[in-house]
Amino acid sequence: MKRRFRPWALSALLLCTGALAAPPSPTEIRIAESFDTPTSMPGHRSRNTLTDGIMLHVVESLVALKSDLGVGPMLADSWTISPDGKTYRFKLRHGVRFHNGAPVTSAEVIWSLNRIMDPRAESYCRNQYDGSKGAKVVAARADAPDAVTIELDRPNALFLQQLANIQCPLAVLHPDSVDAAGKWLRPIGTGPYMFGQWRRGQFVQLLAWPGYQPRPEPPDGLAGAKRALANLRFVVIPDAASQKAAFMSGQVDLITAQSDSPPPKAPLWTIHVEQNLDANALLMQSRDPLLSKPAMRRAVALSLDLPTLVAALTNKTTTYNPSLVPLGTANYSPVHARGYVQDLAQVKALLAEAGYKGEVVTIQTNKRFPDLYRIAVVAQSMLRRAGIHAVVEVLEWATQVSNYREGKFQIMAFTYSSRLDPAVMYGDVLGDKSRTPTSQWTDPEASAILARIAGVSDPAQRKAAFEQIHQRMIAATPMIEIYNTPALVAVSKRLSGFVPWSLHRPRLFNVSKR
Amino acid sequence: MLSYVAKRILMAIPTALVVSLLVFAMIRLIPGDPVSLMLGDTGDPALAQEMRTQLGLDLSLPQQFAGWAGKLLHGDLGTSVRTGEPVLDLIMERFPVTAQIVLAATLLASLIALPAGMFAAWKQNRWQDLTVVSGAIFLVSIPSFWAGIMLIWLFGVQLDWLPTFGFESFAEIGWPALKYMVLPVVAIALTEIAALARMMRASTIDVLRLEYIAHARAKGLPERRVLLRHAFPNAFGPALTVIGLVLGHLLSGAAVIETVFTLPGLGRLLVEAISARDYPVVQGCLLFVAFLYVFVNLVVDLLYPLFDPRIKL
Repeated sequence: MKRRFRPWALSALLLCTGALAAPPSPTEIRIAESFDTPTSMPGHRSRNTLTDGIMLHVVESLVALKSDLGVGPMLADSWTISPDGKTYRFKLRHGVRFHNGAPVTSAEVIWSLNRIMDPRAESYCRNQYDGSKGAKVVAARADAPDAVTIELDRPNALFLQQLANIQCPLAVLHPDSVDAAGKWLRPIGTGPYMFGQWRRGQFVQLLAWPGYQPRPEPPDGLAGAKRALANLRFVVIPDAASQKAAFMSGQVDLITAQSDSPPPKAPLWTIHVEQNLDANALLMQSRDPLLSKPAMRRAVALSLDLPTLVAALTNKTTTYNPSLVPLGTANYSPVHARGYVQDLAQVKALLAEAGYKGEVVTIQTNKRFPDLYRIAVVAQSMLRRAGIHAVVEVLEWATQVSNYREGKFQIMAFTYSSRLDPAVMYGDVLGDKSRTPTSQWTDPEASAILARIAGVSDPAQRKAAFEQIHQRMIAATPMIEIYNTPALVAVSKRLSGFVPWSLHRPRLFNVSKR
Repeated sequence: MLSYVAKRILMAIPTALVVSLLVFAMIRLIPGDPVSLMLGDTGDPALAQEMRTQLGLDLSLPQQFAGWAGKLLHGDLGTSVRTGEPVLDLIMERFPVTAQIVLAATLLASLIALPAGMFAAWKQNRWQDLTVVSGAIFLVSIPSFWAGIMLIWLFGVQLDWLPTFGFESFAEIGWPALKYMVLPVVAIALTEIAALARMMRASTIDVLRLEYIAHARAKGLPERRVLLRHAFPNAFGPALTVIGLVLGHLLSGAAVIETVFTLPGLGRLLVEAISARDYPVVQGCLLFVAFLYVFVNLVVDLLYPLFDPRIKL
């Protein structure tokens, strides 16, 4: 009988022997992410954390964030600030080229800034430069091919940090990043990686840029020398169990593990704990008839054993932080460690003072962020033990965000994403609730302290101001800050050079793969 | 037959109209909006208002519907609020992924379930029948996501034979794409095998009791011929209906399996769009799904006469 070649049979055989399950290329680092980036434009209005995480490898600003969240030089070698704090003069570094080979000059810096400020560009960051949030850029000019001047309408002590912000950097891009009509195409930046292939819903590939000239300083945060030692692939794996499986099978090299179900200890990988700046808190609606009474809000705060709650929820990877100044940062001092201490006897008195008669207090939360769900459940239990009839309402995340923005809640387990400076965080929390429902705390005196340091660069003065604001916040109890989220980052031992940091976007430059 | 097809397509239009109106209204009744989600915890009412205006979300609902329906008449499903891409492009990019996996899974399920169902019916009330029925009950009891995770654990993590995530198009890279398809196809097929096998068994048992089967056996025809030539065509009709329903359901998005296996399919697109309140994408996807159901059922109806000459269209 004549035997014919059967391709399906060969394929089945190969499948059974595992021959088709080739491991990823050894020169490509694979990072698992739960969701795709909606855009390839840095700082686009629809950006998310993955957008930021990709862009910090592709684009650069005049200055860059260091590990201590201060700024260091990047595309600018040096800069001067005028005595009135309103004029910044930057001297650009020579020899830097875009990914298309064009040299970086002041013209591209100005073009990039103007593009952010153009409403048609749909930038999420325009309000940082048009005066809506802080100082307004009144002029930006190219003094020479290697010199740029930016003038502000008033001093802004955070301006350099703003330029380096990873969510809204002044990403210096080549004008070919857009088409003739101004429509966004792809980022042509100056970072150590070029934007490669993007398959929506699947992966974004970044390619090592051979023309990259590292800075001479040692690596420090996003500043200093950066080297692309392997290509990168950010793969989208929405399901947490699937991410873990992909990591354990060696098909991805880095994941952010679930805090309640990390990969087991094994010689093939290391689990790093990153102390992040994200702030988990219980918000309290002071326009609610019950929670408008300070005694009631304080009773809620003193009902909670917050150190125990934090230890239980984070497996003791972090501690209770009552302050909006993140734990372990330069502005954190022992004053910020003073928060609420559980006191059930005082709770009883405070409830009587507030005229509490057992009304239901609803804690809104969601299951998209498991930490927030667990905070709500544990808080409910502690409140009930203290005599407050708390119930948990689990909402879909979009609904909860909408309620947050409209102030529709009594108590809400909520997380604030990282802000580089406490002034930004306090600025978002403080305000008039009747005008901006996202404000959680109306205190004109605290707002005045904050306004006074807007143009102050002196670290000691700023630190003292944050201490004052924190003490006022604890006294008024508008919300209960609980802890800064620790993240578990599981990293394959095939990678070397990975260093965790507080902004929770993995930095893969200077990281190699065996 | 052509007039029948034209009639069915015309009948789909009012269905699509009702679906589009319902979808438009219902997605907006859910709390939350895309601008809030994009801005997250940053409080800037001016920026929020500007974005709502840019996206046309500040218009009244009738105005928004009229604008969307007007574009629809020109074949334009609108653009995604999040990415700014045309919705039709997004659907056309994602649907082939779902189609490839689902068609392969349905084919695999049919190839296993139809003979198994017939065999069980032929051996009714014997141990072989009991084995098939028990197996079907076991498979139908397994949630597809659990089956998916177990397959990943066994073949991806423990044996390291197959990739645990990712997708490649068979049309683009050919045979190597198989390794990405195996696990999701098997996970979907496992649950479909159960429903199909039980339906095929039931309809075959009914057919085997009919007089013409007894007549065929009395003529001395071999049992294999009785089953395949005489029993199968009549028993296949109800199973074909189930295949049509399953196919329509799965093609409209096997969201759970697509999430577990990281397939960039239509189901995941729809789920992500709902989570992001990306109204144009949700509306476009559901309208597409409505037409898909009509199309699949039309194809199934057209196939009936091939198996049962008594049916005329």
